[in-house]
Amino acid sequence: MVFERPFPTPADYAVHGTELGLLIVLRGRLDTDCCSRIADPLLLEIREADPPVIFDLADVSFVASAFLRICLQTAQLVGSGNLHLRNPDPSIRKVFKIAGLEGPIRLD
Amino acid sequence: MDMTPTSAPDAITPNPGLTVAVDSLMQRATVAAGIYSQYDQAQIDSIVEAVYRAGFDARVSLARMAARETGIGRWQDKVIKNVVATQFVYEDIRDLKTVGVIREDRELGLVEIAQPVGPILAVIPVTNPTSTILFKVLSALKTRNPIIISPARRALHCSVATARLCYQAALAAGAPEDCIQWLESVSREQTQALMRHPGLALILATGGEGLVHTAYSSGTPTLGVGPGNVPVFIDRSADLDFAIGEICTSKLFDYGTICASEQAIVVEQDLGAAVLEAFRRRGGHVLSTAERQQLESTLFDADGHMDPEIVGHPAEAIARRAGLTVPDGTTLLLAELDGVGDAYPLSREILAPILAIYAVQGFQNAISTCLDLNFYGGIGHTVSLFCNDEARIREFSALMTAGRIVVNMPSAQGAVGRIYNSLSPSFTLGCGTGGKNITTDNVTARHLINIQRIARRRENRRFFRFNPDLYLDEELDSLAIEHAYNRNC
Repeated sequence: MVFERPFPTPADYAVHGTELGLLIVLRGRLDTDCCSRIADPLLLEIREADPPVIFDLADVSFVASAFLRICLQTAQLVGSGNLHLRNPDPSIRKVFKIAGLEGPIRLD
Repeated sequence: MDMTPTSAPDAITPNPGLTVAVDSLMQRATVAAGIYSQYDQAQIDSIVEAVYRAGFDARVSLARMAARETGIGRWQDKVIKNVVATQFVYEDIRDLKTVGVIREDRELGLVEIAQPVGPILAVIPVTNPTSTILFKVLSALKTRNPIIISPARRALHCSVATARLCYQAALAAGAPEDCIQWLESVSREQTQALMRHPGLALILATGGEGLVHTAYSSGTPTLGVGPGNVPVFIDRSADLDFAIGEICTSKLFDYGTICASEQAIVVEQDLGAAVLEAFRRRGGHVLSTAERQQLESTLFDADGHMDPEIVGHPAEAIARRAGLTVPDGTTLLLAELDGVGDAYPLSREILAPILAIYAVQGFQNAISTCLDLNFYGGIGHTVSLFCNDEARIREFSALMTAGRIVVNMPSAQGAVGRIYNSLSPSFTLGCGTGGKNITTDNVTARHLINIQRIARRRENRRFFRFNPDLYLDEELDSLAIEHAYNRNC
């Protein structure tokens, strides 16, 4: 089902149901505070959705380990290979490569 | 003592005799180490110069022999490798102090004394046999370390000839017996036994991942290398034609056998057509999708293993082997790819004149593609960049994980050092922890000494003036301690 749910706060996320899957657009600094705020509602959305799930990181400037945890929890929920990270900045792409998370999580 | 510098042929067989042979080699090396430790800097320098001159004078015959025996690369380029391994390496280490006191700081009360590390086992790759031996022998002799050469099976004769030539020159210049030894035949079992021998001090492991891993697993300290997968980003600020010319200079050198040679070209999309055209003008053949798939199926078996017969062979021969018809004079095979990883076999390191081409949208995606290539088998090795925008050079370099980031030069010759930059000339390119190595340096004689330090008493006056009981007071935090510690009174 195609739908739109805008950003609840300036640094949070927006959810779009698309033909390709659940698209979650994140932005700003995904630090520990932000992640602790968004983790539960975000994972609730994901639990109710069909895979795949796409995180669009085009406007994300920083990720804390808490966000990597969200990604791993998401990958567990939707199955390995069904979480796509779209448009990560090269520095964030490198975080996932160094952390060795390519595999369960796909970097598009 | 037996003057024959080689192991006895009957000692190579895998039986108790093997242990005897390895023990014998190591015993002779250990004796040589003891004798050599008495030599002074002038004697060492004279020996190194003699071996350099002998190696340099034989640069052409050794190169021809290596090309003929291995069937890999071009002898003319192997001559240049031999020149780098002798003339350039000699220039780099000629004035290096490697005996006795090498540095003294009277104010700090520190004196550094160089000591040899001990017997070295040098594992030699098939792709650069004679040059790697020349380089390792000069480095070992300069540091008073005996060296044992373990040749690659397919480069045995040229390796033995090189080692023998060096040994004869060293002996004539007054070096101790057995300062250079070599294996007359190749046996994995013997090499592994040598690696594990308690008398061995260090392994200089240049070769494939498996070999380097075996060396590390032996328990003997090892200076190894890692695999490469060199991406080249050509920025829009670069002179495109110049960049392609330099890339061809590198990738065609010895038919791409240097592990620092370019593997993939990354450009922004609007430059893609111009890049392909510039390659075509230099003999590049852009593969169609069908041709690319045919080449992939020839290069790799079902398990992804690469056909070793294509390493260091010319593009036309590789095309023929794959059943492709390419224009006469084809120098390079170019494959346009849009992904990196196992699903894109040509995104792997291939030591032959084959290049992947990526035309991507924007600078950030170009960096991301280079990052993907860098992490797909080439962490810590080398990346290359053609760019005249300093900010972009810094941004690109900060994101890559590479011991060498070469800018505006042929990557292969650039990484090896001295021809295009001030890197130390070396045939052992460290890849740091990412490549499972202890250093990202170009390994040289500087890495083959133990430095011991005499530390004279130079009291830390603040410590002696400070009341140490204050450390015992849990109520005092770091700021309070620092204040008391640094107080002038």
